[in-house]
Amino acid sequence: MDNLYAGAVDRTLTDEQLAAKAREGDTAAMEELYLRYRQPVFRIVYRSTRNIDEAEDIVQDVFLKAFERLHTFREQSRFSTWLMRIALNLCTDRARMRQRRQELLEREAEHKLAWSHPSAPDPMETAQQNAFHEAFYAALDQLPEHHRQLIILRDLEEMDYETIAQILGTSVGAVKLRVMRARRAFKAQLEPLLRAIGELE
Amino acid sequence: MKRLCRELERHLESGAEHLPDALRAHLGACAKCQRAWRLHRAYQRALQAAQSEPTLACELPWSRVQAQLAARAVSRRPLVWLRPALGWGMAVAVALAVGAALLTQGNQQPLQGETLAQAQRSEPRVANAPSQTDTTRDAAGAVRIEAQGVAPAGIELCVPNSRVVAQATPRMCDSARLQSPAPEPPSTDAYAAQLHNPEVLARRPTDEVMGAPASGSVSEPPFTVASLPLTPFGVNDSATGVEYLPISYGSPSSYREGSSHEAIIGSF
Repeated sequence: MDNLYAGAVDRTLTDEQLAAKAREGDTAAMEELYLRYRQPVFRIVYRSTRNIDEAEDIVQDVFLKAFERLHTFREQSRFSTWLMRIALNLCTDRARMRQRRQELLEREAEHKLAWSHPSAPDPMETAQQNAFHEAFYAALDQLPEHHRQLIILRDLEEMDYETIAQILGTSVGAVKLRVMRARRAFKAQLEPLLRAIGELE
Repeated sequence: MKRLCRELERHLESGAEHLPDALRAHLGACAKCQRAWRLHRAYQRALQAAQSEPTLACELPWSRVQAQLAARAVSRRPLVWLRPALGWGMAVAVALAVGAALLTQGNQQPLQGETLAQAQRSEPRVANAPSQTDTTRDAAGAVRIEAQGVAPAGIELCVPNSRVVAQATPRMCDSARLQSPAPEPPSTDAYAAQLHNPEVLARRPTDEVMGAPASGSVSEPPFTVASLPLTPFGVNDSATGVEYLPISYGSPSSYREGSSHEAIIGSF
């Protein structure tokens, strides 16, 4: 933080060059990296959380963590994939916390009947609003986190298998297999929802 | 047919949208594959609907992230100094604890380790080499005991033909126990002869003092361990209800005439 009022950084620099400058405390380089990747990170995080405030919190945490741990970035992978990995890890952490909170709420509701919390959305209601869209995210929410991340990265963000493999730190073949499994699980969740809204006979 | 079903399933799971002719022909005849195909199409439509959703713009400004970074950097700075300080503090505390433990052990060992049997076995050694309890025999044959921590410096306990063994008790570590010689002391033959002589036993004033029968059979132990703490003050133990009277050390007036003993420790 020594260089808080540094001037604008050269925008033609690559991510890795900016990361090297940011590692030395160049705030302008940090800002440039932030501006480059704020929106892509937000998009993935928002697709996972479906909550703007929570997504922005996670985005902030992602960049804080990234800038604080720049010394661990070995430049063996691209900066963007490294950043996405941090984002996905934080999303997983949040999902676990949310799951735990939900379980606590449900347990509390079992004990105290007066306590009520919003239940799962009625498929018929969602059919009236935006059937496909809501069904899709309802099914996505029911997926385990590792499946959900793959659906988001591959089918929604349309990343190639190689990039996903770099983000997840695994091989391309393993990613393909995992994507197939994730799709199978996703379809299994989606089918009853689509049938309920009359989109599937 | 099953091979084609599996092939179609694999084809759909890989995300392909267009089917080869062979699979398309199979699709017209297989109800199970038709169902899977419809589900796949619905999945594709749902995916398109989700993709077409307008993505919200991230409103998070850089200034907020920057402020957080600065705040974290400031809050982490003291920790740089705190960690070594904590480490050194812990090291000093451990060293002090170890030192205190060693010191305590060193103080307690001689008191606890000295038992009567050990005292008997090491009598000549004790006389030659002073330790916690210095035992010497004066010219008249009395045993002079200077127990460290039991009596103040300058007070000498003179016990006729008996031993005082410094022994720690749970309640009063620095107390000493007065103990009679064992029935078969290996020290001297004269002492053994004295012990087995009923006349001598009958005249022993210490037995009367300590509550042992003055004239009893020789088979009974002539002397029991005095559990009374040697203290110049009276002690009232409320836990056991026993009151210990103050001790008065030996003086010429307490010397009994006719006794074969040269000195008496005192009266309780």
